Amino acid sequence: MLGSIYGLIAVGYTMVYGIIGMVNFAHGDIYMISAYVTAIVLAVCFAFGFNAVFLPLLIALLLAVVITALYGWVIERVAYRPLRGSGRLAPMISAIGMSLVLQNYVQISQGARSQGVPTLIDGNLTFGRGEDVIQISHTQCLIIVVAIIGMAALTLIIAKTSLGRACRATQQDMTMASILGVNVDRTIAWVFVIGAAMAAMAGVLVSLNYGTFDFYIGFVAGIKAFTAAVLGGIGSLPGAMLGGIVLGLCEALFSGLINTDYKDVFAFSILVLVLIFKPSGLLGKPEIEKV
Amino acid sequence: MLRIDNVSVWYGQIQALHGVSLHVDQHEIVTLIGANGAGKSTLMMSVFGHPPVRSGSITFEGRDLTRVPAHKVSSYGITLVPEGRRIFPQMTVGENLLTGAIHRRDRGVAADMGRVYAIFPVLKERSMQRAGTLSGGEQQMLAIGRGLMARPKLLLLDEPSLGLAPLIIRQIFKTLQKIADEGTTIFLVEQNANMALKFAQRGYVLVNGKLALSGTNAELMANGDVQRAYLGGH
Repeated sequence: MLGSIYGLIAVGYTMVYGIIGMVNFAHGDIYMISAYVTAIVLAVCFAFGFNAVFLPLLIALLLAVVITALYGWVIERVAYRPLRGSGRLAPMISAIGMSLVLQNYVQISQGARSQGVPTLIDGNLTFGRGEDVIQISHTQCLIIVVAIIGMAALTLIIAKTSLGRACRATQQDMTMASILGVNVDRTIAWVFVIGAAMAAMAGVLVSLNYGTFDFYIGFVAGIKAFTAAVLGGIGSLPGAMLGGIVLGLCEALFSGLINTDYKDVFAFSILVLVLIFKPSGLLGKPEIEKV
Repeated sequence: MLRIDNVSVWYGQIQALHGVSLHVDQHEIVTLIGANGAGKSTLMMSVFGHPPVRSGSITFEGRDLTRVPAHKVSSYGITLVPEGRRIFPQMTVGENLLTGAIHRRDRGVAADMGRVYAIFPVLKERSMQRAGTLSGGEQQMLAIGRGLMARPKLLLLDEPSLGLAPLIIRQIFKTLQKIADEGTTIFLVEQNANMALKFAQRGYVLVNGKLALSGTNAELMANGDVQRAYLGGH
C-alpha cells in the first residue's frame, strides 16, 4: 500500500532523470501540494453540502491532478529549462531552491499547522478467522486500485502513443529526436506534467489514508520515492514501480517485525547499500560511457 | 532547392566550416566528398542547427533555416540519415520507423510503413525486434527507412556505407537509386568517393572546412587531385 504510493512518486523521478539526467528535488513537494489541493477541494465540497463520498473524491482527484500538473509544467519552465545544457550542478541547486520555495509558499498561504481531511471511507475487509485475521481498510484497497490504474495508464501511454515514442526517443538520443521532428522542449514539459500528475494521485490517496499532513511531508516522501527509483534502477519505469513496492514492503515488514522507530533508517540504509553494491538498481542497465 | 550560402560554423573556439557555399536542385543527386574530419557531417548537422550556423545562410525552397528549431526543419521536407545511423536501440524496429513520421499528421503513415517494408523486407521480419539487436547493415537500412517515413523532398545521407561489407553497400546504393528515381532529391556525404561519384550527378570536395572543388561527376573523376587524394589513383 505504502509501496504503491512510493511507486507513484518514483515514476516522476525516474522519468525526469531518464530524459534530462537530473534529479528533480522539487518533485516531493508536488505531492505535498496535491494533498493540500485535496483538503481544500473536500472542504469546499462539504461547505456546499456535498455529503456523498465518491463525487467530491473524484473532483478532488481530478482537480489535484490538473493543478499539480500545472505546477510541474511551470516549475520546468521557470527553474529548469533556462538551465538546460549547463552541467549537472546548476539544475540540481535550482531544484532544491524550488523545493524550498514551494514549502514556504504553502506554509505562508496555508499556515504552519498540520491540516486534516475527514475520514471518508470507513470499514475494512477482513481475511482469515479467529486470532489470525488480516484487516485491510477500504481506503487502502482504493489506494491500491487507483495506483494500479495510474501505473497501467502510464505504461500504456509510454508504450503505445506517439507522445510515449517521443519521450523514449528523446531519452535515447535527444539531438536525433529533434532532427526527426520531435519537439524536445514540449516532450520534456510533458514528462514533468505526467510525473506531477502521478505524484498528485499519490498525494490525494495519502491524505485520505492518514487524514493529517503538513507542508513538510513532501520532503520525506520525496526522498523515499527517490530511494525507490534508485532501488529499481533510475531511468527505468517498471523499475520505479517495482522499487516502490519493494521499498514499501521492506519498510512495513521492518516496522512490523523489528522496530517502528528505525524504519526510516532502514529505508535509507537500503539506498546506501544499493548505491554501493548495485548502483544500476534492480532493473536498470549499467551506464556505459560513450566514447 | 537547398542553398547553402557562405556558411561558417564553430565548435567553441574551433572553426569547423569556413564560408562554404553549395546548392542542391530538385531531382538531383549531389555528393559531398572529403577526408575524415573535413567538416562534411558538421555541414549536414548544421542544416538542423546542431551546431548553429555562426554566419551565412541556409535556405530550403526559399525559406531560411538558420533560425528555425530542428524539429521544424523536418516538417519542411528535409530528413537526415545521420552518420553512425543513430537509430534508437531500445525501441523496436517498427517504433523506430514510426519515430521518423512523428511530426506527420496525415493518414498516409501506415501506407508508407508498408512501402519501407517492401523496400527492406528484412525490416518487416524484424519489426518487433529491438533495433539495437540488428546487424550493422540492417541498422543502416532501418536508418534509411526511418528517414523515408518522413516522406522527405530532400534526403540527406551521411556516410551510408560506413563500416559495411561491400556487398551490403552495393545493395544499399541500389536502393538509394530506386528512391531517387521515385522523385526524392538526394544529398550524399561520403568518404567512399568512388562509390559516391558513380552514384551522383554532381559533386563537391571539402578540405579542412573549405570547399576546394566542384563539378559534375565526370569532371571530378577526371581531376588529378581527386584521383590522387580520394580515388586511390596514382
